[in-house]
Amino acid sequence: MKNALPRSGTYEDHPKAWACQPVIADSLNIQRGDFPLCIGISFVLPAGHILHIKGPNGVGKTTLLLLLAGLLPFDRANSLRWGEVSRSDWADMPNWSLLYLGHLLGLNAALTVAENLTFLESLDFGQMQPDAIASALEAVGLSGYEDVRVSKLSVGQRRRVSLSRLWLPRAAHELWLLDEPLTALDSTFLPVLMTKLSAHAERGGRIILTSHQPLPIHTEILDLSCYVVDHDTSFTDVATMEYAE
Amino acid sequence: MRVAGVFRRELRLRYKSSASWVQSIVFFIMVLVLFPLALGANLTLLHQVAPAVVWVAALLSILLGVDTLFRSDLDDGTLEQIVVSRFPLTQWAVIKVLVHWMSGGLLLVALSGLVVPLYGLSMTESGTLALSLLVGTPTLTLLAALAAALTVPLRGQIMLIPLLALPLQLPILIFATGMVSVMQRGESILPILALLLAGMILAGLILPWAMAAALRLSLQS
Repeated sequence: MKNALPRSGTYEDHPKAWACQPVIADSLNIQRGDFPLCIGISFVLPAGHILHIKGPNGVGKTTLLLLLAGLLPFDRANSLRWGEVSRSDWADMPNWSLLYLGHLLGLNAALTVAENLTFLESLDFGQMQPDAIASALEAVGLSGYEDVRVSKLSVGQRRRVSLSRLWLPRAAHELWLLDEPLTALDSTFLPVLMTKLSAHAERGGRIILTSHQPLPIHTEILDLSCYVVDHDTSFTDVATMEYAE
Repeated sequence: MRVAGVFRRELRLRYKSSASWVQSIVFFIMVLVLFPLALGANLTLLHQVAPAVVWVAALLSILLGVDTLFRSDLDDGTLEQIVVSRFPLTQWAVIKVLVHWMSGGLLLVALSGLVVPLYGLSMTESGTLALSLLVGTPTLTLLAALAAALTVPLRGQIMLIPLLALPLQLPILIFATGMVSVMQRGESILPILALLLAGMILAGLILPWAMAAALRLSLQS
């Protein structure tokens, strides 16, 4: 295990010292391909807070989450940091890991629910208790679905399977990145999910999520439409139109 | 422990979606069986062409099955999850290719024994041929997998894979088919064996990193 961290010997003495540091975006720019979407996004996310990213379609919410997840490269290396550690070195922080639930769920349709969840968790933590999956599935209202193939599930059920990863024992997953977690969910499951999100924040975890719906829990709000690049295209016009309504 | 979990998943997926890889095995058997039927009962001719036929069939069968290697993982988001997780992408690519080779190249090694009844090769000749396949097919599979990783975001461009991989695979084909004839002349096969092994080691050391870089890029398109 590599413990090398830039400019900080303290992390080696305190393996989880990073958990107290805030996640900082420092005039971050978002572009899709060569097309700039937003410039100068800045926020500070301390432990125990939920950041709700808002904005009209196409403004760059998903792209911002992809940047945070490390799936897209940066134009400036230091514009996203965890305390002092820039994004490319986050994986070197001892016991660090994050949970990213995107539009693609990461579930293979040919495998069963339990096989998929075991695989996804084993990527970070190796072996897992078998009853952990049963209780996670029970929490999302899918108990008894362990050995059902994912191809047999409905869209909403697949999203629930994906969200059940929030209930798996994952103390190390300090940061949750959730892209439109409310999509395709019925109204009975919403309060369950909201309780889970605030419980994670209360334990000192942090969550960054995108959603078009207002959330009934306490969140910080980041409205990306404030950072949109002023193009001559109809892009910004669409944005202002939607906000005037 | 994490490696074992990933390995088990790949094996399970192979078992559950057997149609994709059985197809290329059946192709190999068909070519091997059809050649003697088409050429007629000319045993000396069959004896001569056997290594070339087996190797060309093996090469094409490897290229045939490789295009779906990374496709479903890109489409369903598994690749994203692996990149986000702490699991090294290069290791994942190695496991993926290893399991693919076990259900492809390794079976071809076993099936190459068909040349004894079909082409009238002796047991030692067949053994040499199998040995050449054993050290040659991993390299071929790695090169084909790199081409598959490079073309995975370009849906439906399957013809690009042979275009990318074949020029790099040709030297392996040329050396490996020569191995049996060298043995038949009574010379030592060790130099060719060493060359093929060196190729395999080189490919195994370099290509997984190239594959991981290509897969990372495929997420950005």
